[in-house]
Amino acid sequence: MYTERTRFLQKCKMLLLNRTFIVYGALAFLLLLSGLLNPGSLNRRQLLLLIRQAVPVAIVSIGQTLVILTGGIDLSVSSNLLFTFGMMPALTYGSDSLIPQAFLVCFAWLTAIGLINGIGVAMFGLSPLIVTLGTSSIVQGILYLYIKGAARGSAPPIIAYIGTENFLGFPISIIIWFIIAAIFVLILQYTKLGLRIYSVGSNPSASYLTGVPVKLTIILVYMFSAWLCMVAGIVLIGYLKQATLAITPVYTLDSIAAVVLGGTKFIGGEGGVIGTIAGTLILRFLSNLLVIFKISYQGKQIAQGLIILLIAGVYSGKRIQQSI
Amino acid sequence: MVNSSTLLDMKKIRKSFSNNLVLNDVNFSCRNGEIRALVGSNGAGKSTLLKILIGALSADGGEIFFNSNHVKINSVNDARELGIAMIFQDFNLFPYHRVYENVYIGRELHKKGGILAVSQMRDGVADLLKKMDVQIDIDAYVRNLNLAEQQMVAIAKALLGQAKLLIMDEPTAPLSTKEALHLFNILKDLKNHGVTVILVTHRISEIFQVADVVSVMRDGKIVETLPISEVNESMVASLMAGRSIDAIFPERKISPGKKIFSYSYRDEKIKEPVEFAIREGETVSLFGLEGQGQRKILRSIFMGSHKDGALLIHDKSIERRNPKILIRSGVVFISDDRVGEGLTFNLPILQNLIMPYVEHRMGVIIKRKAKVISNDIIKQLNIVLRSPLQKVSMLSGGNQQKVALGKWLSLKPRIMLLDEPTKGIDVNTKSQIYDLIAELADRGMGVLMVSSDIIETIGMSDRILVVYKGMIVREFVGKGSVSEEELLKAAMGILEN
Repeated sequence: MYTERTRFLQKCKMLLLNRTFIVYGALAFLLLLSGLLNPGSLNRRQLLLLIRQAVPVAIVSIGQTLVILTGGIDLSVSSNLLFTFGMMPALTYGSDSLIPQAFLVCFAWLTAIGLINGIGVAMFGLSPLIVTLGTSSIVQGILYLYIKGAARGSAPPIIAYIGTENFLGFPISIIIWFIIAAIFVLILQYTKLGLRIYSVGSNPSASYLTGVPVKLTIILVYMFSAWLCMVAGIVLIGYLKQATLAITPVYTLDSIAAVVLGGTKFIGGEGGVIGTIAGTLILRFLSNLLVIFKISYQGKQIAQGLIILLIAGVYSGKRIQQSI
Repeated sequence: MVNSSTLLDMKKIRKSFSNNLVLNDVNFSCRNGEIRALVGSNGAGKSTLLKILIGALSADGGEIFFNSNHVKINSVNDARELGIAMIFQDFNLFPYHRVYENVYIGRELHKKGGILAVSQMRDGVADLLKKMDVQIDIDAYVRNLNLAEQQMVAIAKALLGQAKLLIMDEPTAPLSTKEALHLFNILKDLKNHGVTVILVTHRISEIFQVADVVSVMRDGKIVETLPISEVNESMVASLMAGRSIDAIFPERKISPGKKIFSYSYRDEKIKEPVEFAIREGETVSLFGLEGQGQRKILRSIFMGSHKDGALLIHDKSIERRNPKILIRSGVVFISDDRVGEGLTFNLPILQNLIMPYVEHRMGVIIKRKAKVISNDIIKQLNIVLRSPLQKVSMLSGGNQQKVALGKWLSLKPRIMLLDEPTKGIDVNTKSQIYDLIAELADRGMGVLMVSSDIIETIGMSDRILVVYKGMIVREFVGKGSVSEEELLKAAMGILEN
């Protein structure tokens, strides 16, 4: 007998156990904590600056979300981003007029990488771990070959503008991230492709028997991931303005952390971009919090790792709960 | 009768899966040094009973006595320690290891310091094989052996553990007649050495060559246990059939129309091709005992190549066959493996239900129509759920099957290929599914069904094609025109009455 009260309580329970709710709750908590521990740090300007720093990782994480949703993983994201980051300034020689050509070159390369990753996984049945690791080495090699070991060039003015300036009060890079995130949230929720992605990640055999083009879907997500890395690379060079190889290529692990933290299941089939957004922000705010307390970089790594284990524990605990 | 030579005594074993009572107070016993054949239709409960015996499942009720001692078998190790060993149809060997390694796996002999005593193990295996009168290269990798030889390795492995009770599931399925004879000799030899053997088989004719006693199982009970000298094939068939009918089969309103589907399947290893047609509104069953090829034929329609079969739908030849093309042509397939192939389990019910429609009838955007369709199906099939956003895994088996079947309704298929449509489902839901199939058939849909449930087959089919050893050996036309006994006999390859 379902009374109104029982229904309401049930809905509350489902909400509390909902991963997206948990992760946004954690984010809110973190924000609150930051505000309490360091009053005055939560003003609009600070927040926007903080988020702007996170935009490249955030965009990469969106691509990673798609790949992980299909049950795969993309370890080439760092090198894809690095490739664009290095090639754009080098090919444009810092001038706007050469942007189209430079863009085309990067686009062509990254499309090829996406295709190789996708075809390797979908058609040759190779492990995504292996394929993307392989392409990442290749891409890095090609980059170093071209720039001959030393990063050179600076960002053309237009790109620098995108990376640093505001539009209607918000940094353009954040607006770009927002648009991309919105597009992919909509794709995953409301389009055929979105349903296919979830389906393939959840059960490739059943998908195949329903007529879903499994191989094509897998190839597409790796291509999207590569393209998103390109966008992220462009945003990054716009932000840093100078090409440098001194940036640590941690985008791979960070993107995976953001995706998993955001509630997307590592084996695929469940989760989404909405969660990843929260995941990215949590990592960013956490790292910022640790900086405030003057914790070293290594300390930050440890803290990040602990958080990931904690959240993973919470999620699997929930799974045990559900099966009882 | 329990006396000192009784090795095994299983008393009042009871087991249910969800609401399904599979073992109904089963009493099963066998004596020392006996070869016992255990026969019964699919679903009679044989596998479940044996799984309980070897510790892979736990019974809900009942007791087991082994060598007059009351025992509790809670794990496979417990069974092994008692001396109960089972050889499965797929042998459970390690293909990339050698014969002697496979035999000793888990019980390797060590020298001091943990180093493997290879020569001792090799000698041990050589001895064992000699006793079995079997010639196999003990250094060979198991993957390079043929099936008969692999079976020998599996038996050696069981014997190494001093098995007192050896259980074999369909042992002659992969063997030639000659190899089967050799196996029977080995079993008889084992008998002389005091090993008791339980043989589960569908090949009734064979039990007369090797067994001493036969137990017939039906509907979760052992109905009869008799010495081989007192039975013949017909008797066994009669005992196996004769199940109680628990579901009512719907009346059909119209008779079949014109031919809409015709298929010709050729397997290179089998002499004759399999050919049949399906008419509008007709329900055809491919019926056979386990492993006779009926499932393979069904699946080849949906996922084969034009090399092994020719498919005509409405007289139009379908060259390439893959799910997408077949669905486009109006043919849908519902697998017997709900978990692996039928549904995407951790997606919500809604997503599962709308998937075929979205995939084949919608453009890029998933429109509101999808939700409407999902609700329609839920209503039409009476799917019991809390919310369409629940994951499919939360539903009961029967409701899951309703989802697996129902999702295709939105495409209005012309032919439905059903593999075990009511496997593992409670009686009430079974009836509902039968009603649905009958309704769809009355609207002109053709159904091709493979079911191991003989009652279901007889109750639902307009035509039954009996499959034996990969070929169609008999056809029964007309709903309810054949008795279970007759059908079973035909399925066993017994040609005369």
